[in-house]
Amino acid sequence: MAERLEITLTVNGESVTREVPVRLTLADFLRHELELTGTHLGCEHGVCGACTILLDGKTARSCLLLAVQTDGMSVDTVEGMADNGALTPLQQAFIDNHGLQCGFCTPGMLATLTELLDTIPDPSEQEVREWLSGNICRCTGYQGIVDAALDAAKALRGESPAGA
Amino acid sequence: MKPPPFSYHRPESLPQTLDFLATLDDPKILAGGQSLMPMMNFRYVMPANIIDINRVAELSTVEETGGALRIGAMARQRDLELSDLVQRRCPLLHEALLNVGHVQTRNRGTIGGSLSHLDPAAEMPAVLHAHDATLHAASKRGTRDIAMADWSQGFMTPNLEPDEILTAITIPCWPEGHGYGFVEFARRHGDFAMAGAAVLLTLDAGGKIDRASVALTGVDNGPVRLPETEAALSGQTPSPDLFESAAAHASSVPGIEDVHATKEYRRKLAVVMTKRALGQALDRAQAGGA
Amino acid sequence: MKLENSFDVPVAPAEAWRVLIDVERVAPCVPGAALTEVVDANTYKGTIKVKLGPVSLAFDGEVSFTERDDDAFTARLAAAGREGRNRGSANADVDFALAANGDGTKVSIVTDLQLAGPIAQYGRSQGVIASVSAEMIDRFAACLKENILDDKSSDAADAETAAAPAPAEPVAAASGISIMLGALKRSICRFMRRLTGKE
Repeated sequence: MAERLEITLTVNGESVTREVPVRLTLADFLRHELELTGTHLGCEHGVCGACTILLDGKTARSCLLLAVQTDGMSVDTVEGMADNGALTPLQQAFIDNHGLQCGFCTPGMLATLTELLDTIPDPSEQEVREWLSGNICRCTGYQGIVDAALDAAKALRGESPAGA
Repeated sequence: MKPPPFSYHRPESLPQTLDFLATLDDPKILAGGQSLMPMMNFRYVMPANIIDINRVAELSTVEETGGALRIGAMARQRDLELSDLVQRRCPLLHEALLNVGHVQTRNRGTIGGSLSHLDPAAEMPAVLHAHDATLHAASKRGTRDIAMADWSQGFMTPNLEPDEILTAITIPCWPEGHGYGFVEFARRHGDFAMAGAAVLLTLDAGGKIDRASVALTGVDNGPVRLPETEAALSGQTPSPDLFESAAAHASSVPGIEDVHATKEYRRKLAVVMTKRALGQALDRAQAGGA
Repeated sequence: MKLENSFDVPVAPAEAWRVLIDVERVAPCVPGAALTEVVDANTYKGTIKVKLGPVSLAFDGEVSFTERDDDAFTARLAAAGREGRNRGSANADVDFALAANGDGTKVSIVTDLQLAGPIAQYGRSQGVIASVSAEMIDRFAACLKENILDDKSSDAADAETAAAPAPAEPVAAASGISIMLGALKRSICRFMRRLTGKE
């Protein structure tokens, strides 16, 4: 029926309208149409987690979504996290705990941990590791990422100043 | 790694969906997309028409009716995982869901999708098989009920005509306090299981096994029940020796040979997974299903 | 991957051989296959459709006798095909050998199947490619056997001929492959569905 469709969605808080091919994935829509290249493509079949974004507040693989499916929905990517350059406690915790090296997996990690901390404000290390099982990192060995998550959780609970 | 061209359709209702299925050429249902999209990205599957059913609201209900749970095919795995009703009335499903992919995939993945895609290592078919669930399919020609035992018709081939769609699943609930266990073996958490066991157990007043249901995943095209194991358990006093001898029947499963494991290894795993799941189920049955 | 199959027929090797090398007669025995062209006495072109769950494959290719010994009753058939939608290719060397077995013949088929491209990597289902191939060869063998028996009974005007199905029909079995083939036939016949809703 349709080879191209017009879609309107909210991306990082701003309304966006575009006409797109129906087979365009959300990941490619973000990267090519909107030039938000923070969302990365590692495997394009849902296992690496680098393309993870938040769709209506819940994590999802953008490589496994068609852009046209997100019509009327809201998408949050890494570009929308910092507030005018001011890093979130989670982002700051990544810096403080050496939670990234090449940074390729980082946007996906941040999306996943955002949902984790929204869901479980006081996660155990085991819970953090389980939540992160869907995001692969080749550089860090994960320890720095886990430390960052626990650090950020503390900061968000107000138990320590962010960036301490 | 990009899907090939297709025509996209987004029905708003079940009747509209059935219409599309009956009239479109080479259609494929897009539900959670966690299995279909990878196959399309790889171009293994190249449907001419995609029917996106994510806006068909009537397929997502979860309710208890007459001692059974009726779950709509579009119920998201994550929603089922977090559902109080599911945890209380079908705890085996809840337990198995914790092993299904990752939170990110469960947010989108659906129970209907898992059943229709019928991956040999899928968890939900085994759970439903242990529960003797009934699947409900619909087409423009009418509705049809299919027993879970008749669902798998071969490798990733469910008992569905090309114009039919799975709409709901009815899971008979086991009594309050029943024992349940789900154990699977995968290289990493969230990977496809090499073998997994789903067990349901009830004890009688004397502590003997009143009823047992054992289903395996990852060892054949579809989930496999173990009637000999179940028979060996029935009426017996639970003990490690009993579980050892009952679980031994699991070694007769066909097994799957692939790059991850040999048939032999899967058969060995099947026995171990069965034993462990039986242990879990017994602990819970003795604790009153806690 | 190597696949081995064998079956017995109650006819002498020479009779069995006659049926076997009649490619045009025997091609319909291969599930999902169709001959499209006879190039010469030893070479044929054809297509074959196979369904691995949701993945429908269609190969286009050529089959030829690379070896043939009409006295020793052995032959090698080389088959090469490309998947129609760029998903890879398949090559198979099929060795046939007939040996006298008492009053009858033992037919041995050894298939060396090589897949290349995306279909070979169809990851976790390498096991399934082997089992689907094995089932196809099983069916081929069963159909071949029917043909050989058919030949014998029509030759001998034997009254005890069992009602054998035509070679093109898959042998009835409640196995997954017959459902798969059924599904395949349905998808091919989709255009004719208006007639009835059922097979």
